[in-house]
Amino acid sequence: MFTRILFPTDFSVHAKKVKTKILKMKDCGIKELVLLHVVNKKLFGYSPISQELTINDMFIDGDITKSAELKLKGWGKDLESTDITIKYDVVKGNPFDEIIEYSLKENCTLIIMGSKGLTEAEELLIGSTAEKVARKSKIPVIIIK
Amino acid sequence: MFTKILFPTDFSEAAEKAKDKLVEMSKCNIGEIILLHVVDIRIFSYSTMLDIIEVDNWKKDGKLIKELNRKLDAWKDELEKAGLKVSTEIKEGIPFDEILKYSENNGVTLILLPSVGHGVVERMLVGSTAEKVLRKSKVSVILLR
Ligand SMILES: Nc1ncnc2c1ncn2[C@@H]1O[C@H](COP(=O)(O)OP(=O)(O)OP(=O)(O)O)[C@@H](O)[C@H]1O
Ligand SMILES: [Mg+2]
Repeated sequence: MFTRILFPTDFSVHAKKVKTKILKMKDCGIKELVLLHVVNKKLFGYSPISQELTINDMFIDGDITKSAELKLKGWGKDLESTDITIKYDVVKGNPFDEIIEYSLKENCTLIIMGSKGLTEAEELLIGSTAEKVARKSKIPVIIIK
Repeated sequence: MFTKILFPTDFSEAAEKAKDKLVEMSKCNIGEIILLHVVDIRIFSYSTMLDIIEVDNWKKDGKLIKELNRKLDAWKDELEKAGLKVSTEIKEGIPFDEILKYSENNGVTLILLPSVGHGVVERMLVGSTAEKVLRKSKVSVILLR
């Protein structure tokens, strides 16, 4: 169950908490850890600037994906260790769909994620990405509070 | 993170599978496991309404509790054979509510939830239990598949 873990992160404080938990999971026999960030398409809208050049072309396929990759690699540094292989990946789309699809495509055995993320809503106990992934995932999911 | 795991069970097929997964997790430096069964008081409202059973009868003759203890002990034995430290607990009430209360009052660090229960009616009940626990828990949750 712990051989290939998928850890989707939005770089929030909640996702950071997940990192500290993973560091405490040394005995679980983790072989591979995949850090995934989904560039949320919704945040960019879809209206094209011109027929030829869409906002997607300008940002999502260009600078934003690249800077997300850089950010992800720096952010995950403290998880690197000799006995765990870490993979970093950035995809674009709708976070919960992409997380589930990625977990299947990459044969992950477990998803671990924060209960909340970037949205600062105190009265909320669980965010929409976490809830949807927990409900729809085909593999076990740990939601960290 | 796995210091005190609450495993609420309805003895369904899904819970049975969850038990096997828990055995897989035994190498994870797990502190202790509490096997909890909640006697769902909602099922008594019908039988009392139809005069099939007196509300307190199931407690008086002790049959139900005896049977539940027998089942819980069998599960406990099995988990202990895998090297886990296990205790059992029976509560009465509405399952999701008792699960949340127990976890908050007893320093539980992870609630283990099988994803679906048995039978059509049960599946709805169990499904809604898992869903409510997921949404309202202040403690980390693992959803097994
Ligand atoms: N774009 C993303 N890429 C990767 N992982 C994500 C992304 N968004 C959320 N996550 C993961 O999901 C967890 C929960 O975040 P979620 O988005 O559900 O909560 P929220 O941002 O507080 O609420 P909401 O998005 O519903 O407004 C995060 O801690 C992170 O692990
Ligand atoms: Mg979010």
